[in-house]
Amino acid sequence: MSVQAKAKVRLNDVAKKFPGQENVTALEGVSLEVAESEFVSIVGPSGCGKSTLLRLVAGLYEPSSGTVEIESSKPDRPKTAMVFQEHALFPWLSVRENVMFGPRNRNMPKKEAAEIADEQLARLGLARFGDFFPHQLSGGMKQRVGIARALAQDAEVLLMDEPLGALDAQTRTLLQEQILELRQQTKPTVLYITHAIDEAVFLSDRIVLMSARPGRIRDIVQLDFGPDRSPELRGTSEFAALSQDIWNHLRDEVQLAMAVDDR
Amino acid sequence: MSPSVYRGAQAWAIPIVLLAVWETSTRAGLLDPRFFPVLSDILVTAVDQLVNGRLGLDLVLTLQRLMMAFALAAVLGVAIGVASGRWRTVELLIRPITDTLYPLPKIALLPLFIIIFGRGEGAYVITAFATGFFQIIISTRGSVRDVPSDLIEAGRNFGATGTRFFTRLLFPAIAPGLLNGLRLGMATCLITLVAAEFVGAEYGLGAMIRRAGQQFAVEEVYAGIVLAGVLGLLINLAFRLVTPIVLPWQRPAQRAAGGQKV
Amino acid sequence: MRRALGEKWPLFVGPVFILLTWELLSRADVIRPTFFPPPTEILIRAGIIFDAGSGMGGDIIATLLRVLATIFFAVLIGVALGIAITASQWMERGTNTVLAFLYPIPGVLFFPFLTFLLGRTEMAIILTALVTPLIVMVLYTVAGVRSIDRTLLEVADNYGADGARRFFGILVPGALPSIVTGIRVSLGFTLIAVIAIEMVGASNGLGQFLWSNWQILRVTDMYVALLIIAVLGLLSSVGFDAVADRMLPWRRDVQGAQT
Repeated sequence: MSVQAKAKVRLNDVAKKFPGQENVTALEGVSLEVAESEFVSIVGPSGCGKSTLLRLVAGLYEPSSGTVEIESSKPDRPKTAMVFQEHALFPWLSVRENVMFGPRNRNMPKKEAAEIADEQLARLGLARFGDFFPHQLSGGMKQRVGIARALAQDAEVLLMDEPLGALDAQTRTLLQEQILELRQQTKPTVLYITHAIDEAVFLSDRIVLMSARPGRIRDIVQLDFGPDRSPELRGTSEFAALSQDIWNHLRDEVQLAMAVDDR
Repeated sequence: MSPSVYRGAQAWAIPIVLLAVWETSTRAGLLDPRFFPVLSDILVTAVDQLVNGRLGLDLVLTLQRLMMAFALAAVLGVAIGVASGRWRTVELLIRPITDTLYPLPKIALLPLFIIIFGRGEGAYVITAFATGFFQIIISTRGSVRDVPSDLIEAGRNFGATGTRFFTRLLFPAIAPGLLNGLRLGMATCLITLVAAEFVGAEYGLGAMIRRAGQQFAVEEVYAGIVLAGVLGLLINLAFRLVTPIVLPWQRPAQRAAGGQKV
Repeated sequence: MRRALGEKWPLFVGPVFILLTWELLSRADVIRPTFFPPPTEILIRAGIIFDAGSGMGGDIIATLLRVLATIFFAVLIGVALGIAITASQWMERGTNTVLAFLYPIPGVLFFPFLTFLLGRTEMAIILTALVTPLIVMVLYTVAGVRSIDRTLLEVADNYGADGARRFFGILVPGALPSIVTGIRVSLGFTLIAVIAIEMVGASNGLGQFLWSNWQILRVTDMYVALLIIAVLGLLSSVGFDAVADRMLPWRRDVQGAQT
């Protein structure tokens, strides 16, 4: 799938070192292409540089070497829109104003931005909560606002940094299904970071497995469920086998990373 | 009793008992009236001095100095505090200066400022300014550093760059800490100002207390001290009233926590 | 995080620039050397600290002793009082109101009253200096006790820790990080109060030295006094932090709420 479709994101032999702290190499020799409308998950032990990778694509960090390219379809379209693990909503803005934040920074008229915001909030089932402040919402609702805020950007690439990591199990399952629905409706290009293997299998076209210290791509697993999979996929034996298989791949890495942490 | 009434009762029971004990024991002559005047006499003296005596003039002068010192300290302190919280080079540049001058009792600089600015208003305003200025730099710098990094990243990722970064992201994000820092800054301005007036000025609340002390006018000394305390309370009250207007998005509990900080 | 010294060069730019400008302007007579003697001259003049004839050594010791005595009593009384009033909400909230009123009053204002009572004695000086630090110690101790995990107190009750054991075993160590921060803040206020009182009403001490030399316009000596006061200020803040961090390495993790 990634072969025939046009590449939207292209990472070319990317490395990232952080100065100070004994020159920690967060990433090394990472090359990856993400095709248009492809959903790619990145899985790996903590410290494998997943978050760093995402921030490089977002342009929040500069790579120490190598290049990160994002294909632009329109000149003024934002390149990336990010969903953060701890939602990172602006506490001083109402829910609607949070979602309008990106469009407003692109000088979109207030009325138009509000319409876009309400549309995205409705899509995530938050139509009634536009005038609330973030602290009045539950964790799951806050994260849906975070997703709405990213969708309102209509960016080339959607970046999701463990968006469900801080949520309880039920909310997480529900939101996974909501993200799947989103995938089917708007066909975004997504780079998705998660700890949960089942979540990655449930949502993705490809899963990138990473190893820690330095962060490297260890393996890439292609999944052929297609975008039109249903939530019942979780119950199938194929799903379970795949998850188990990926866990087997990853187990040594996680143990290695833990041993380093214990040292 | 509703919880808030109960809390109010708890907050005011002891102060009221103390005041009542003072009033009755001094009236009954249990305490030496030369040192412990009757409470209501102090209040009468305060009002009388405010209306008929020089105290009104002293108070106005102190308030004028306070406003000038605080305005200057707020503008410069916030600007430098934000810059040093944001840029490491600025931080390194001013760090040795703030580290040295923040803990230096500013009252000790009063003679120096009198040399520079003469015996006029300038020296007292600048002494008070110096206290609030460093206080506000340090608390502003702290607020900037305490902004969660993911909030900064979210701001940048969603296009808050250039001046927008400051107007739409940084200032709203630090607003609660900023307000608390300004409150502390204003209170320290007042403390130093009154102390400086006490030490060296001819007019002003502090000078009035010194004068009254030299004339053994005990009631006036007390009246001055009470007024100084009331001014401090008014500063806190003003910030407590302004906070919900400036920060309507804050949880009431957060607001209370911010106001309680010492 | 350790960084190369090369990245820290701006640390020296500010002080060097200010001192150098001052030196040059003063030497060139652009600013009046009578009022702004060059820093090198002040530094040379600082030798009077060790000159018995100048009496400055005695002034430094007098100020130091006053600061130490004040902070000693402030900690002793403040911590005891602070912990005691947490026993009752009525006491705690009521005291809070009283202290909120007294806190913004400069301590030095109580000096006239205390000299009525006690005369111009050392006792009057120390009691005056004690006002604000004592309030600070009470407030920080109360905050410290409030910051102790409720479950910890329940465990203590459950295991029968009461009386002295509860006081020294749970309350004091639990409130310690906040108390230590309180001592740092108190030290700052103590120094301010002692210097201010000495300026108006003591026969010795750095504040008195500063004020009297200014009045007879021996400006260089005034600067020497300022220099020493600045050093004392640095010791009470940066120096205190260095010592406290070594003795209580976990202090920084828990003090966040109070700073």
